[in-house]
Amino acid sequence: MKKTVKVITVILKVVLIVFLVVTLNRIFMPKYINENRDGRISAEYYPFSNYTDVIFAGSSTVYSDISPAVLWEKEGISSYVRANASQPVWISYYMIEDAIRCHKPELVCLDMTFAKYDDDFVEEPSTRKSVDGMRMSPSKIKCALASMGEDEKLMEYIIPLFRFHTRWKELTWDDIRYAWYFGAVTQNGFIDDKNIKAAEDADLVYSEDERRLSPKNVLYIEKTIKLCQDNGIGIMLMKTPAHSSNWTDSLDEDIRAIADRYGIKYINFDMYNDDIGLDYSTDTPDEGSHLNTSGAIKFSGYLAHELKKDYEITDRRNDPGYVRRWEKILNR
Amino acid sequence: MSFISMDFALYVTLALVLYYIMPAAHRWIILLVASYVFYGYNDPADLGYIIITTVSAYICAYFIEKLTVGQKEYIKKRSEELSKEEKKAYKLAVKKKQKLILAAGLVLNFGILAYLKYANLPIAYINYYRIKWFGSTQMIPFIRVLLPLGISFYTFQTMGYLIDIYYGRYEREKNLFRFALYVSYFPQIIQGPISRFGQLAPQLFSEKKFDFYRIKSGFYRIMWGLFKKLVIADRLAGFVSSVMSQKEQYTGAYILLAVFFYSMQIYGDFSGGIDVALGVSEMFGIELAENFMRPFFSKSISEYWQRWHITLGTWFKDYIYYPLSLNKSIMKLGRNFREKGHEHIGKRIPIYIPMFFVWLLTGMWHGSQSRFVVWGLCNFVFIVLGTELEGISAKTVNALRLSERGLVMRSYRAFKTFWLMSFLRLFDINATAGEAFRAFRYMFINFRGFDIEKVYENLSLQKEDFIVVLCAIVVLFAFELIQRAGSVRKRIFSLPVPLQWVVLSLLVTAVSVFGYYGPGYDASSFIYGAF
Repeated sequence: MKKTVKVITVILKVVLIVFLVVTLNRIFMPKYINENRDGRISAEYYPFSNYTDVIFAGSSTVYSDISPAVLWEKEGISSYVRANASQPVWISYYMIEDAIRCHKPELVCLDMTFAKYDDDFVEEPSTRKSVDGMRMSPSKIKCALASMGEDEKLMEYIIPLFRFHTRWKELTWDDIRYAWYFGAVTQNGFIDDKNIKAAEDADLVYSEDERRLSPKNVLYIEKTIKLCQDNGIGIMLMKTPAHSSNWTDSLDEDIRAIADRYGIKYINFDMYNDDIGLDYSTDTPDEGSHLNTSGAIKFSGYLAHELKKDYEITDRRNDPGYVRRWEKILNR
Repeated sequence: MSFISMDFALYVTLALVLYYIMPAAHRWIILLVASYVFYGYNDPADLGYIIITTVSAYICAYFIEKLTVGQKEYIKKRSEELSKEEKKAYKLAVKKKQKLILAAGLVLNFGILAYLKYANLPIAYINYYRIKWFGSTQMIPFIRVLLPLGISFYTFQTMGYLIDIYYGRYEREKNLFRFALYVSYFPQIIQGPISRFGQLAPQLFSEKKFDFYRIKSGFYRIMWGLFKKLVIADRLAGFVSSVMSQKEQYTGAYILLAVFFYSMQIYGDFSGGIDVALGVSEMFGIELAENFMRPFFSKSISEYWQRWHITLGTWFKDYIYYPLSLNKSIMKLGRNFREKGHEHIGKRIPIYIPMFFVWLLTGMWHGSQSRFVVWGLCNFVFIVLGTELEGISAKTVNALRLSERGLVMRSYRAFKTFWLMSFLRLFDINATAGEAFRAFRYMFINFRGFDIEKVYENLSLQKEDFIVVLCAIVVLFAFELIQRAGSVRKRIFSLPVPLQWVVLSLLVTAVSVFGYYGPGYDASSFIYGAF
């Protein structure tokens, strides 16, 4: 009897400690409800994980340009966007590894836009948005280790309170209100933007720099391909459309070489603007860096058709479980 | 590895696990390895210094004891052949040899410490006077020396041991590795306390059972130390240095506030670090000596120094003050004065002369700059004045019909002592003695209005921080008031379990939320870690 009481007390103490730490973490972490909504994409994925046939991973162009709702409506493709602002390839890799841990999708589409940056690319706020939403797992730890800057510490990713405790001066009622909020603020990772700000030049011209893929980018692109192939998952490399000059033909060459080596597809969708029907005088909110809602609808429709054509992706529109899920998502 | 880093927390956890899974008789080996890894982690080169101190003290103690044993055997064998005078002469000869060995050990180790601490001091003076007197532009380059972490602390501790062995107070530790642990025991190596062999060594090597109470109690103490360090001390550091670095721009009220806050900062910093050291050690089942005993409740400067950095004070008392006051020349001088009718001076000489040297050395211990010598001597002067004016003070109190034990007098004396010590710390905050005097002067000749908004806007202390730090100081004061009646932790542990958890949750939350740490907050390293 005495032993049982002792065991119960210890269990209670552990539960209390965990509850205290988790509560403080949730109160102090930024909420990303009204702005920087991409900060919620990682966490919102898990309730939908078992219904994901296609995962799109990449940076802000992915969550701006690809609407899973359009893919569902057009071709019955059930997909999720695991993207964040400035998300480098190595974070995308761990996002995919994390996703596979829960459920194996049929196809992974890895965006290459941020492969243009060098190995030392670190942007703490973006890393935090990507990693903080991930559930605790070896993938999360490895993702943090691969992405941290020199001044960052792993423990700050395990217990985010150590990073965000300085917010005590700026806490608002919303931090309490949304501490335990699990509702979605994105549509399967898609963040719509209805603003319009036309691109200055009508024609897209790439930079003539001889920029090459850095070793870390090559490493993680190859790791992603191998991970998918080893798990029997289709993989496609792509560059989402953007009217931006900071891409180069040399990067395309490098990526294509990797894709050829592994026998997979690489599509730079910038080359298909006319087929997609994109008009950068109306389809962008920021002079071409991203697509707005109208651009995203056009591109997503085109993408749905291309994926259906090239990959065997199940049409789930006759599956009641999926239909119920999607009805909820479309009603948001 | 800083005491306030996550690395240290993980390191201690790992060391504790290994310590308690090791058979009890061999646990000290884990402590030794943990101590050397910890010490070498900062800079492996530092290990060289601690090894020199360890080995040299070990060898000196070996020869001192060998001579004592040899002497006993020699006299025992020839007890009937030797006359009383011959025995005495033999003992004197042995003592002389032992004294030489002791002196060699002291000179080597204090020599290393002095070289590392003061090597650049004469160069600085020579350069200064060459410029001042001869207008020379050629400077003698400074010697590049980096003071190994905690060298003052372990040198004092080890030399204390050697002196004790010389006086035959302890038997020497025969196992070199065990002795190495006594010198390097990691919780105390950075900033003390300075332990005595008789108090620490038996605990290091005794076989202890795992006791969850000790872990819990140690954890509470660590959290309390972190509260003092991270919530109070580090929060105030920016304000204090902002005011003192631009004191010309601020009126006396700001300087006075900075002086008050510096007292809180250094107390939070030093005693907080000691709490962490004692808490960690307690988890290993080893109780270190207390280094602080509510110093801000002291009613005189003498009492203050019995409550602040206690182990350094007792070290100086035992190894400098007492030997000097029993020194034949000093006693003779006192006797001479008494014989000439100067009874009072004759009595004071064996007290004040040793005390003068103690304060001179205490000042030098705190730093190589002349301001620390001035600081030490000011302490000496204040203590002498306090002692000499005791009679007048008692008469005044009587005339005012007050009681020394009454709340008014006790509060007044504590207030006076606090501010005297705070003013003396101006030598600590300012870069030179001249700067310290200037700051003191500004406090009174430039005492104009005080605008709290200016503090919030310009002085690294926002309104919210200001409120938090004032609340934390009140909590600290309340804690120490309660502590006067006995251990606060024992009181907490006697509460119902849910209440204990409320207290711990509040403490952990206060430290983790209001602590000055993490990106954007450069938690200052422990001030006394530099000694």
